[in-house]
Amino acid sequence: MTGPGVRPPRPPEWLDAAVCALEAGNWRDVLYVIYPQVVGEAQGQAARLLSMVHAITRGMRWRALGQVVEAWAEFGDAARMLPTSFCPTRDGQAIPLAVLAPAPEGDFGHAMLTWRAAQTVVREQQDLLALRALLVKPGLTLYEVLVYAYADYRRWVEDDPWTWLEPSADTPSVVRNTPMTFCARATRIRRFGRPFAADVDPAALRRAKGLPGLYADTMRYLAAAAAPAEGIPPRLGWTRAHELAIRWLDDVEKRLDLLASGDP
Amino acid sequence: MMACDAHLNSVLAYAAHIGAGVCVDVDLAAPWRPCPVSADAVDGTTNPLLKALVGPQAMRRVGRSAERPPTFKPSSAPLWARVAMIDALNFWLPSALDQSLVDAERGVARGRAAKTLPVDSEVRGVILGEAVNLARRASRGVVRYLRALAAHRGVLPVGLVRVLEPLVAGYGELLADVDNAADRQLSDVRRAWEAVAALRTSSYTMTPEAPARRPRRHPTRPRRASMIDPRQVQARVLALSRNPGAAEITVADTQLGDRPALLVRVPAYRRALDQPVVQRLRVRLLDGRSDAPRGQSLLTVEAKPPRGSSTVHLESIVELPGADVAPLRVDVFDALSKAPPALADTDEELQEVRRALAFLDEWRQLMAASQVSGTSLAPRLRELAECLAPGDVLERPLFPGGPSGADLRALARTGDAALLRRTRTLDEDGGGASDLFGLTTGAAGLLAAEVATADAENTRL
Repeated sequence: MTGPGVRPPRPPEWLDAAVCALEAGNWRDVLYVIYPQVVGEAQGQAARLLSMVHAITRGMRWRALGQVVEAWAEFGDAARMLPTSFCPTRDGQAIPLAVLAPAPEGDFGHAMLTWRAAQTVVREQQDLLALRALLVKPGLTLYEVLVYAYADYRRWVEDDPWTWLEPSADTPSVVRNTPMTFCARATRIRRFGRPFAADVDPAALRRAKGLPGLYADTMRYLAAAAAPAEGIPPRLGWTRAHELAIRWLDDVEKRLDLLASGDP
Repeated sequence: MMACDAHLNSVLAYAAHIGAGVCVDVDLAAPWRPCPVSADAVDGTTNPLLKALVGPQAMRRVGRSAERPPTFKPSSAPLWARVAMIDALNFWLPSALDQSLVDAERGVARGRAAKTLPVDSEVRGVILGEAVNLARRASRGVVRYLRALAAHRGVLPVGLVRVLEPLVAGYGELLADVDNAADRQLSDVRRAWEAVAALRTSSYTMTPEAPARRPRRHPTRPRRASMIDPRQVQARVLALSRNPGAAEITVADTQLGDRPALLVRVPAYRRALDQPVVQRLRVRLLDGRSDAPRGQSLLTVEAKPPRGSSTVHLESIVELPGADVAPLRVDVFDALSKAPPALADTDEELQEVRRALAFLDEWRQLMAASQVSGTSLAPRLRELAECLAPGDVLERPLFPGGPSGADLRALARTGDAALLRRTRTLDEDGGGASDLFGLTTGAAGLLAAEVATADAENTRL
């Protein structure tokens, strides 16, 4: 019951915890801990919001698996579940985009949680749009695709602290990084921009400067990259990959400076 | 994309998004009707597609009037009508279908239609991209199906080969567009087909043995139960009863903490349990006065199925807003559904949709069965008439524009031989017929998955 003088019910604490976890990129906590525990008790507005939270979670899981097309569709579904003010054009569109809206003033209830969840959808959709923009550039080389794919792996798996917290059902398939699985990931990422691109052949990895070169170029790319959505804090995995790349670059540049100065 | 009310008097309407924000409305219960077209934007991207659908004159009217949108005849743009119709069949058909085959056909049909657009148009690239993504996603399941056929069958009915061949050819067409044709997922389908293509084919045989059917019961309604509304959830997620008068959702009193609540259970269509849509399913309590829910919660797969039960149920506990509230209807819906809820199970539109689906599903199964075997059609038609239109409503159409029980009985009287001859020459109609046989011709032709299911049932007999 709402109306003048009637306070709307406060959202349950677990909903705040789930939205917090997704802001940090900890989709595993939502998928394997929070959601199974609370899905039976979620009622009314909390139930409505939990559906959307779960769609964001699934989208992030697809990202960790390198399944970008599926992630794109899942974040689109999450956007469709948002109130119209966060997703004005939704019907008819294959994948609607969530938009930034002002935060509800003085509201710490469901409206604020909805706004925060919407911010997360905006961030993830913008991240994917930025990736697609890189992949459709004319003259894109296979080597650049490998760099973007490796950067994606670092942001969503290797440098994501949540990957290594506790093993989950997804852990083996997420963390596996053989030449074969890496090329499959690179193929999927490449096709997110160009659906008719050929499979990425593992031989391309061997030809492409070898792994040390690929590592260095990926670190340079990660260090220089801008956050996916202006004004929205990135996921922790994104931030850690960025910071680590900057530190690596610092270390390397110091070493190069030493070599240039003739000091051993 | 959900069912919508785009067609006035349409029973099984569906707004299919065919690409770049362009929607085509079709009606499974009247597939010969002109298809209204709408679009989010009429611009340089969508113009080539709109022109292909409704022509250069009418495309200027797209988006101007929601009441009178431009339309096209399915026969004037058959490839696009087929794309929309396959999506509609995917949404509505409640019977068992191999989802991989359905998705593969959605991809292949989009690919073929997109290739009729100008080569340099952006929309062609967008739709081809969706086509190849769908085909790739379905690839593993299609390969599994083809390998099973090759391993376990010596002879295939010609009716099955006739629907599978173009599907596999569609994979070849998409593969030809991939750089250096280097695409394992697409080429795997063609390789799996080679073993199937080597099998012998058999022509039709007349064996007037009626396949055993599950018995239909006359409409019954438990005291505390509600009906699934097929407009709210894509088909093959919940187990819709074959009896349109049966209520599938059961309701029992329970408690949530110390508060009164209802335990809601709905049978699941087992094969769909891993689909994302299951995570989006919600329950809402309706009081019969407005569509604002009096309570709402999420459905989950039941933790412990009752001993001996082969049906998996989805369940939910919904808190009642007050002890004195007695909801008239419990509605199960997909969080993405935009269709307004029916306020009562007796809602005439809900009843029409359920009757139309029960009829259409059975009718399409009959048509599919006749493509792969000499199944006896007449007894099944009589049974259908008996169930859907008992004696007192024999003359009334089952749904607006649909056949009556008397029509079905008259058709059954023409005899099996005449019926089979008619069903096996469906393709010769070209899709223009506006009678019962027109329900499975042209754009609404049988899906490869429907024929595959009929074939699987036939070989199990």
